[in-house]
Amino acid sequence: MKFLRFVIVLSIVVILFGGVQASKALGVWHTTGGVQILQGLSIETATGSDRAIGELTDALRKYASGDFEGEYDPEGIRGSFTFGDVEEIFNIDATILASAFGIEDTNPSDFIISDFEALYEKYDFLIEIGTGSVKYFVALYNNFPIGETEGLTTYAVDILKDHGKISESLYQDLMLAAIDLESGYIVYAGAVTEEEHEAENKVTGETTISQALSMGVPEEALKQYFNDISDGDALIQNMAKSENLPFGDITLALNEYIEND
Amino acid sequence: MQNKNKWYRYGLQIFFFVFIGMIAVNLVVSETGTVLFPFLPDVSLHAICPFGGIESIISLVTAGTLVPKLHLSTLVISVLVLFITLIFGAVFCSYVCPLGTIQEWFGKIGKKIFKRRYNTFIPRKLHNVLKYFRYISLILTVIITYNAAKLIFVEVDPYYAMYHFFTDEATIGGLIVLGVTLIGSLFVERPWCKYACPYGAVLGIVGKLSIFKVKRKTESCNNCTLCDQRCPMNIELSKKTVISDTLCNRCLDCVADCNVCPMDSLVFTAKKIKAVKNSDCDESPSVVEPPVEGENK
Repeated sequence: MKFLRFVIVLSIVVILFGGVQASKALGVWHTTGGVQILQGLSIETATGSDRAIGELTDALRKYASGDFEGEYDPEGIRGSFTFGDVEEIFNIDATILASAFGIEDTNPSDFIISDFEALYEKYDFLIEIGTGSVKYFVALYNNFPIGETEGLTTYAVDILKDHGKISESLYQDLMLAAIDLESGYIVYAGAVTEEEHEAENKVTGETTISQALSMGVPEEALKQYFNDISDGDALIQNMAKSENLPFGDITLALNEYIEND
Repeated sequence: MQNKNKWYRYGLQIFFFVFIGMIAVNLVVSETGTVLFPFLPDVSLHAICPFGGIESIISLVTAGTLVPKLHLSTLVISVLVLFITLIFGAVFCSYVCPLGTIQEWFGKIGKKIFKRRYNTFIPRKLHNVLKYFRYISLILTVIITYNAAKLIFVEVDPYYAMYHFFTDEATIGGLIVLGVTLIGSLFVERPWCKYACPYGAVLGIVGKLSIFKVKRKTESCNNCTLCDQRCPMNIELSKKTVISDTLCNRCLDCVADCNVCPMDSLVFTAKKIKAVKNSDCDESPSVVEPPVEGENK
């Protein structure tokens, strides 16, 4: 009897602690991070960086209380992180991150987040896609508390919805301010049909100079803000940005003309 | 001698009770920037809770995801405990679970107070009904967790409350259930385990398939019913040959106490039991009074 109990005790210790060590060796022991288990298991977790993950996590803050106690706060994500680092710490597949931000890379684990700036600079987006966007995406993906809202791509919003991470209403809201990487424009009214949009007859982020004129905005009103309105296809939103003018104030003023028309 | 060999179990219970407590304290203290036990992992209890993998089983199967706060480590621990259970039965409950341990400690106080009346307050008929409540608890927990997509069980979880009572992480519901459980343990052995624990329900079912089981040699047993009286889970061992009751947590107190019989009629084995001719034992049934804890030292 004495021997039997000793065997049970020894077996429990060996199986539990040995099993944990074995799972660490196999790379499946994650005590923080996301929840995409089956995909996480099938993906190599190499970060592509020479740094140990411990060096990165040392600088990350953990949630001190609440539903996410003990989890790393994505606010600590830095531009120097690779998608592989984010995958390792937050358990979101690097290929998902790459898809969310329109990165076509044979090895997305090696993609460094700060490279967004160089990549998207040429598009001159009104909403910045950068480190903040990755933080925002990670928080939404893992259902963490949301800090500041940041720019997302339409791909990212679609992925969040497809993976069941956001509700339908949040999807609609996020889509309203998401950037369509193919066109380079913000997808305003992504959930609104073209007819409904036109019926609203308002200046939005998609409205061009010629559309505004056809809605009833006088040329003089536009010239108050822009010196050159000869390019009818130019987006008012982009022009406002190039002139460092507040687009929100401009739309309010222009829409007043339409309403009074 | 009986108490001596029980110390293997008691020792492991104390080890895990303290080990998990240190992990919980470590995490709370680390928020202040101090690491109290640098040799311990800096993880939340959810990350090493074996019930997590069970709680989110529906979302795991249907979507390949665990609910927030749970991680791959949760799943690893769940699998390891199920593996142990397939070998020995629900020894996790009797050798590892800190909530089971603290109930036993309170139970020792109850034994001192009530002596032989301890663990006899709930009539057998009522016990036989109440013991199914833990399956309801399991089903509700799994379904509600899936629907809420969060660890809803933590709201009433006495285990989590026990290790977080000094923080604002402890829920009112959890603390109330813990209090009721500990007070109940003064009257009934392991009340949470017997009547409410959803994880115990899972391990009990898996334990039915275990390789090792407690078995009774009917040829040598003189039906003294000492094992029935000793069993903390109120199982009537004297009426069975193979003890595959889902409540059995393999504490092996019955086997230890049965050693008073020279024929060792109760055994914990993987083998099929053989008929044993017992010329030394009295063939006629005789009722033996169980030793009260502390009296047989």
